Amino acid sequence: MPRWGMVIDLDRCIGCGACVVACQAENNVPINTEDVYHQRRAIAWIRLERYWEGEFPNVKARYIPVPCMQCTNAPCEPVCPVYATYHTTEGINMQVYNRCIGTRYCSINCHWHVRFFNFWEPKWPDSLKNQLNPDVTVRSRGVMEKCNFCVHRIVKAEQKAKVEGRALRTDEVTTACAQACPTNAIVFGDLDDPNSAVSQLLAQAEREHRVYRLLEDLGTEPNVYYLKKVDVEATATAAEAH
Amino acid sequence: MRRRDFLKVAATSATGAVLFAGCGRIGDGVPETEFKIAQPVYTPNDWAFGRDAWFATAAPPDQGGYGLIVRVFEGRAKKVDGNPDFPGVLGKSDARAQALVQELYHPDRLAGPQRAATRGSGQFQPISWDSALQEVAQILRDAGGERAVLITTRPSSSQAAIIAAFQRVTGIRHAILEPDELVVLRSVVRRLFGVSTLPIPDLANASFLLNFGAEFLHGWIAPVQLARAYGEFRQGRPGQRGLYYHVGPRLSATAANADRWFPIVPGTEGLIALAIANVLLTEGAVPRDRFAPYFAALGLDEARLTNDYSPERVATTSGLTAEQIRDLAHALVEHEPAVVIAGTNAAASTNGLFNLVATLGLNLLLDSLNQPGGLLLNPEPPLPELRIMDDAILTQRQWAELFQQIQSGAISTVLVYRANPVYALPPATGAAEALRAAQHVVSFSPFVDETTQLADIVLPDQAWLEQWGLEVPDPGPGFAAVAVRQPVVQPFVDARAFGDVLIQLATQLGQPLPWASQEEATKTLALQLRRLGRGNIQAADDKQFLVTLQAQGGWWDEQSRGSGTVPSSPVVQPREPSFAGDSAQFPYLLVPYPLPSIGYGELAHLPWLQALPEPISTNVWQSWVEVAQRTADELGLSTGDVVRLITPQATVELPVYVNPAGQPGLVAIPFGQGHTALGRYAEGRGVNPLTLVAPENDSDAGTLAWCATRCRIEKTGRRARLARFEGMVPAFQLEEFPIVRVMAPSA
Amino acid sequence: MRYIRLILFVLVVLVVMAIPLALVLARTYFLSPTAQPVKAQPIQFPHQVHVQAIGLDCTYCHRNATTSAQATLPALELCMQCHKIIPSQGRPELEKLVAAFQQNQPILWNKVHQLPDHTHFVHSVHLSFGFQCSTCHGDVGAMGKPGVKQVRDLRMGDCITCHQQNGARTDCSVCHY
Repeated sequence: MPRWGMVIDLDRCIGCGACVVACQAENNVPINTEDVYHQRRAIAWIRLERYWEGEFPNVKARYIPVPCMQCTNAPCEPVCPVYATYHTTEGINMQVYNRCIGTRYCSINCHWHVRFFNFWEPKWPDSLKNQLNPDVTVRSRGVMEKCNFCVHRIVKAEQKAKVEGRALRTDEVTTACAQACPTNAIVFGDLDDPNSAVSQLLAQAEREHRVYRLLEDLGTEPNVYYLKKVDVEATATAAEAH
Repeated sequence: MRRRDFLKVAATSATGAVLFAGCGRIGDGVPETEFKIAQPVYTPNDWAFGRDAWFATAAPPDQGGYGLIVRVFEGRAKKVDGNPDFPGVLGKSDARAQALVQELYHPDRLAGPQRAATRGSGQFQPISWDSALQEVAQILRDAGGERAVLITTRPSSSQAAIIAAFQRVTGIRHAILEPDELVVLRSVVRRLFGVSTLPIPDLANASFLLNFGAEFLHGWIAPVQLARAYGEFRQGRPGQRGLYYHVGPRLSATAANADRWFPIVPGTEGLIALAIANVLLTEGAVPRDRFAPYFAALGLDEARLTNDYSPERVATTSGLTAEQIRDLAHALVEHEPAVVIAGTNAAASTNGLFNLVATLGLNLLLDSLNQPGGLLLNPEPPLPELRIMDDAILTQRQWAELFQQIQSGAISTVLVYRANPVYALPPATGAAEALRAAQHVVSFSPFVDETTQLADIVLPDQAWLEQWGLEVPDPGPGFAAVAVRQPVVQPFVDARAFGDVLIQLATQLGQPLPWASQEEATKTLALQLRRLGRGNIQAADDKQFLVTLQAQGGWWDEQSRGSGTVPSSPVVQPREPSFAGDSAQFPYLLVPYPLPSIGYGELAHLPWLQALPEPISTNVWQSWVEVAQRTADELGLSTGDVVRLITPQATVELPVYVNPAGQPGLVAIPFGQGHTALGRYAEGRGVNPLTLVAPENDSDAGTLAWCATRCRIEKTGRRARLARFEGMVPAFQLEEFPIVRVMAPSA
Repeated sequence: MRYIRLILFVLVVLVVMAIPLALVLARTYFLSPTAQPVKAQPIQFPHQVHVQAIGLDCTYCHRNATTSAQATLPALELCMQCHKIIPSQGRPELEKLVAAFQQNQPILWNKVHQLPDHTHFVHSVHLSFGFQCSTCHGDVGAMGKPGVKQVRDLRMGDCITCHQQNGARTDCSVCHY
């Protein structure tokens, strides 16, 4: 049984937003109109955050892509009154749209703010509906949605492997964001497979002491690993704060 | 309440709840969700297996022209990704490529040929292709070749072949509209390195990158290729991490990735480069014989360089310290191999040509041309037909002359293909007036943009994913490469490929072109590639060659590399930047910049790109004015305040974004918005900075210097809501608990 | 008589409370997929003739069932391969087919087998594990005019039971994504 995980190398990330658009294209995320931004209800299963450091002229802008962390001990799961959010056997934190009744407890309990509520029926002009991915459910108004590591791609690959009577090959499946990422900053794969790209990358980065997880101290055991940004001008405080 | 009442209420509500919930059954009842299964009349190609198929095609010419693959399911394009086989990109793509499907299924795409009710009204009535083609043929027949002009954006390589053939039979003039920075860059590369194709820095093998302003990771010449190489540059080689210094006026989306950012006065890039050369010369850091071509290109000699361009002298004008300039020079020679690139802002000053010559010329001093980790020159396109003629690319000055000719009646007929001169050139160029004065305006654009609004007849082009073509990526990956574009879906609307229309027009004029369609032209040219007898495709016959070409998505030959010449005559003289407007009246410098998502506005009609936050400010869907923190404190401004931005040219009101990384004395504004046409997602948002900048030209190149205008800002006292991703409190890292953890490089 | 009012009251309460219960049961019964009448279709297609009389295999027409998620309807051109030589005059259902083909009009069928929303079912996987079409669809070959009827519940309980019986995964994400 694979254990899916993701490694995001912040030293490679250039903040281009290819992952954001690729995710929207793959997962039928509704168009974030200007109104949606005004209301702070934009949906982005993976988003690009920018953090400032210092003051002009010694100022730095740091990028970090934030998908769902797929926590092993996910704080969003126990608060759901209807078990709409649950953990799959492969380590993915799933949202079951049919069960969701829209209490939004999960989004309140998520420290990374990666769960999004459909405040409206998602709408597209008729012609743009031709682009919608038939493998992914178009969510309706009143349900939560979130990154699920492109689970439809995983399920498809697993079904294909099953039909062909074999096990899933190493790195046979990848997420839309990792596929698009032009700098290869995002890598997806099976953390339990020592030959997978994520495992190899993690092992190497571990030796360089670059691995960390976002809000790791909360003890939720996220399955998304970040590799630290490397900077020749790294300030003493930032470098020490491990 | 009595017990009886309570029971009544309880019973009604319980029953009501059940009835209410029972009103809908899954998939039934509501007509929209009633499920129907369509039984097609003929089996579509991609239904043969009932599964999704990935077809190889190519990115548009102005986005790099690299190889793509498109996922198609049930005859609809679903997802675009990079072609894993295509050299340079290796399966990677960017946001713009992802959004190609939105061009295909855009709700405001023209569904077929249209005729304007009255010109400029924006109202069009559908007409038939036959009558539209006849009418345009008649217009061309009446005007004759010398009185007609074809204005296009950068065409694909196969379109260029068709246009050239069309020109041969009709004698029509061809003019290409490209962003000014690229016009300057092409001209510099041609004159400095003697090649007509753009070079590509070999970042994957470089140790040090010095970048003068080029937005090379966000929409510059080849964003995907360069971004992929950048990933390798940083972390692709165990134990060796590339170092990147950025010299430029803004902490742009690209500059934010640099290890060190050197904020400068815009337009002083070339002077800094000379000061770096000065340091290298006086310290003897590079062999003296390498200076000869550099001096030749700039009309300099040793004495002038040492005397006039010492770091101390340049420091006062550029905004850097002499020490910083020395640091840059030392970094260039300490880290081998090093490469220097320049562009975007650097090319858009009144001395843009000089800036690029002086900065890119540093590669001559480093001897990095065609070296691993240096600047790789690309070969000419493998076939002469696939070359895009440089002399067709007009500069701002030439555009003004052309529009003069149109207005005076010397040119009566204007054909426009995907170019949008009314929007993309400053109003002073006179594009709108000229088109209004022209006798006939025919547009081939798939959307009603500002230029197409002034057309009499529109013969809409197909979307890029619906047509055939060959694309020579410019810049290529350092060797010869051609991407093949093939339709991945059946045409969605009744549009016709631009090449097809030109071929049909030529036939109507009684002078048929050598091909019957754009598809045939593509395949004929592709087979000429086979005749070359080299490249990646081994095929026994023509058919096998074409099938393999379409399956692989391209042809490339890693042995075919570029070579150039070194300059022997002066290209340009050193020149300091100048700015329009009196510095007392207009204290700030206006620095417009292209957006990583929608560029100079040509992609403003795609909602995914409009909704993609600008990486630094995280603003979306609008225009804003970026003001430095210190300036904002002085003027008492905060993010969201509406200010009056006044330039010698115009006055606009826009919300402020206070940028913690802004350089005091500069005011930045993004390109891309301010459309009055181009569909529902582009219209009526923000301001086009081209209406604000003074029509200053680079006197050497003749291009528009959009980074050479002064401005001032006044508080209006009003506030506006900025649509943005970040909250109103800027996200600063907490020192004790950083979100983005940073470490010093391990020794 | 002392308790008559109380008894009456309890009776009334029971009756009132039984109403919603009865409605729920009635809804379950009358709206259950298998209890639905045969859906009207644009053409009354007799599977019986094609399967029992002629002996066509299911995958002759529904040819993607073994390879993809959807079993898919064949294109009209496949129908016409045989029906161009089978006389259609005087047979109104066949005339509709020929007319649709000649006018290049796709036929819009009403979907018979409804799965709950947000559910993904993949034909190929089930067939590759040796299940027959009739396991879920019933003996379609015996269904003549007016059309096909759903014979199995095909709601989540039904799916889960079958998955459990056959040792298949019952993780939500197997079907819901």
